Amino acid sequence: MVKLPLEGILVADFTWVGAGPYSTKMLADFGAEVIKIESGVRPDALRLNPPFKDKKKGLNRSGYFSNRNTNKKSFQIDMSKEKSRELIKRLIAKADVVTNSFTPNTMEKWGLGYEELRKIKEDIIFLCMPMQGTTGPHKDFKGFGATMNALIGFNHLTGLPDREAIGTGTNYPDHVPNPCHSAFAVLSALRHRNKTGKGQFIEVAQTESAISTIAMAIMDMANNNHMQIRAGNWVSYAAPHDAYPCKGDDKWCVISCKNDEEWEKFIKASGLVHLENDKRFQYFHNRVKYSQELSEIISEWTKNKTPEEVMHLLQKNDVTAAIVQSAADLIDNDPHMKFRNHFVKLDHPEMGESIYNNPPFKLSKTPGSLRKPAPLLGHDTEYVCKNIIGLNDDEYEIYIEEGIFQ
Amino acid sequence: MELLEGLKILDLTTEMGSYCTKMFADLGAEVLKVEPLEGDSTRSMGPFFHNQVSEETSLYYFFMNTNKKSMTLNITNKTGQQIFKELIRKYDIVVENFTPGFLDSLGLGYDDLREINPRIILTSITSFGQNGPYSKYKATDLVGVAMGGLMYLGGYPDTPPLRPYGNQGYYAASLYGAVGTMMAIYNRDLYETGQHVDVSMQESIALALENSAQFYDLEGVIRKRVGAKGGQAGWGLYPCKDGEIFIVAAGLGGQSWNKLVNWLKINGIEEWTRLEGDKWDQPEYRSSDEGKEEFFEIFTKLTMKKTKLELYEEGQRNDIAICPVNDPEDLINNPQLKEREFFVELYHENLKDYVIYPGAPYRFSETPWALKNQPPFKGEYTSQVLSDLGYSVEDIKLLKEGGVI
Repeated sequence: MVKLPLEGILVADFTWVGAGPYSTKMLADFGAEVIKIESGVRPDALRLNPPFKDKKKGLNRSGYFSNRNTNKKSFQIDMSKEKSRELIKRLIAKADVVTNSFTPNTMEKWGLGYEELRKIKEDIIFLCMPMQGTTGPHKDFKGFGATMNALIGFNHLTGLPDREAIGTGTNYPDHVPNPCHSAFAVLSALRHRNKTGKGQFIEVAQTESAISTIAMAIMDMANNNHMQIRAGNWVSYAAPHDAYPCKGDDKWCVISCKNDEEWEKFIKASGLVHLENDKRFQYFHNRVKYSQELSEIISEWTKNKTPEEVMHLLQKNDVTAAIVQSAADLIDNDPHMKFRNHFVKLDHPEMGESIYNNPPFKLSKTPGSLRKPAPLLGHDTEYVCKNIIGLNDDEYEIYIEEGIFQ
Repeated sequence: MELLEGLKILDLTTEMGSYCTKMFADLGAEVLKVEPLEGDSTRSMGPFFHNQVSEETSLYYFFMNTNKKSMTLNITNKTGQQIFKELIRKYDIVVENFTPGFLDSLGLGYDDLREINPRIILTSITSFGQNGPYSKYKATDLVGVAMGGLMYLGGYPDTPPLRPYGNQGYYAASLYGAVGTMMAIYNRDLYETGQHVDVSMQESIALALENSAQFYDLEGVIRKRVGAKGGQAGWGLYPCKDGEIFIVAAGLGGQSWNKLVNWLKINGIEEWTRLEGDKWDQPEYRSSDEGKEEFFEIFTKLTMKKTKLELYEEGQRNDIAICPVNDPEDLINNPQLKEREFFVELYHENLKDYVIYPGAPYRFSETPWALKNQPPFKGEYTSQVLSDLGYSVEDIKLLKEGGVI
């Protein structure tokens, strides 16, 4: 069997909830041994957030948690105890990477800050992902992906201009910019360490990482003093460019034309040839200007067709169009996602067969793989103690008696 | 030494892939843009610096192309393809976002490149990936967020689904593409073998559905757009004196509920007592219209008295996850970002002015991220690259006349 790129890399992973576990999942899916250090006293909040298998709440039943924690091992330990922290240091002495997404100073209070850990493992790579960084007047402020959306401008910029600032409807930064920047940073630092022998401290302030994805609004304001605001589906670079109602319950399609050529193809394919002579829609800048009127006309055309019909008809005629898919569409109805094998079912000991996302990038020679579902809380505690840290049976028993594995 | 010093990337990307190669360039990799003669299409994308439209003033282009170099090369031309192949010997990572099959049709597909340089890593960032029934379907960012499922979660219940701001389909493809590319580089360093990295925008967005796929799989629930009325009492948007705030004192932030009640109490909002009691422990009640309205009525008695910044700082001091709904101007004046010197001013020679950029997405202790060089002019390095390959001044002149560069 082909070796995965990160085989032999050991990650002591203190991250929890959203962005952090998604980052370390990528490392685990490509072969790293990721030890999720968890407390049963104060468990990862996602373990107790829905959806749950059969709607029954339980620490090992959340799909929200499971999808972010494939291929990881769970080491259950109560970090408030001095003995626990001694044991964790022995784990870190063998690790290549230590990650956390706590508020600043949590690791330091445990004696596990970067400077301390360097004494144990000189070339350690230490990734922290605090909400707003480890310095500055708001460094201790707390939040989630959803509050971050509001804080960094996603809410202001998404929705309709005369309605509430709603944002993406998800904890968006947790799923794209923050895990990707973090995983990219760790991989780059590992490579650098292999070349130079030097580890380092990496700080991903989650707000700063996420601001990269709204850069245009920032640059427009900072350089042009121009305030962008949410504009629905309107963009300056395409018209039509909207979602249109289709046949069925809450079914929608999208259509996008970036220039005259695409517009002409659309008119021809849709049969809306009378639009050709409509003065409001002649020339690109007019279509951008009258995009609302355009949407109304196109909606009349789409409303008796299924989104699939619209997409296939227009795509056959070289026009950009697609279905606004729900998660159910993606899982049940999308032949392309099936072909790509994007969703896979893994057999989880408590949840049974349940759905996981495959990585969205496929490497031709060393594809990542979902080898194991999310771990049960504490499932690997004994393994980590004996096989990684190297405790013998007696030592392990003593720690059990101390009551630290909670 | 810079973090990615020594990595050499040929960058054929436009909208969909340019943030991927920017991530490499800003950490010290050498990124050479190979632009068609008419230039990278992002050069025509607004907004423009001081609203002056030209191919050297797009802020979109600026942001995506810091620290890169540029040459022009017509790769649809036989001689252009020959030059590209010569470059493949010197560069060993190529990132592109053409429709699948396009590079193959030019004799520049992965198998062709691998024959020239077995260490080559080709990263293809495309709408739907290299194969499958929709692989050649046309797409823009809108298609990515629609087909990937994110758009279905955005918008108000009484409007069509709404896309997130700012080409997040392109960003997601680029960001996941960068991780995939770095994974391949890491692997090559160990095992001396290149590979083809196939990145799908649709699948990258499918990673951003939070728990929607699992909600459907485990509970049979299809998550939809909920607008501002979403979630439950104590979670979401609430109006205040000068705008809106966002609070998470329910759901993931459920442990803050009592702190929130106490905050109302110490501010003399007498109705705080109505937020005590068992019914607020019930997700069913908190998610009901009645529960949401009752909470709204009580909580806004506090919020309407204060500004979003006051509520932010006071609420956080009470250990509650609350924050202001900021606009871009608020962000530029944000005390935290200011203190951390987040924004970067970069001098642009041709503009004789500084351009302000968002700063580092990450901070490294040993090998800092840096914006050193302004984005390149179209073809700024064409002659230098060709002369390094051994072409004479006369050759270069002929190539220009022949429409190759």
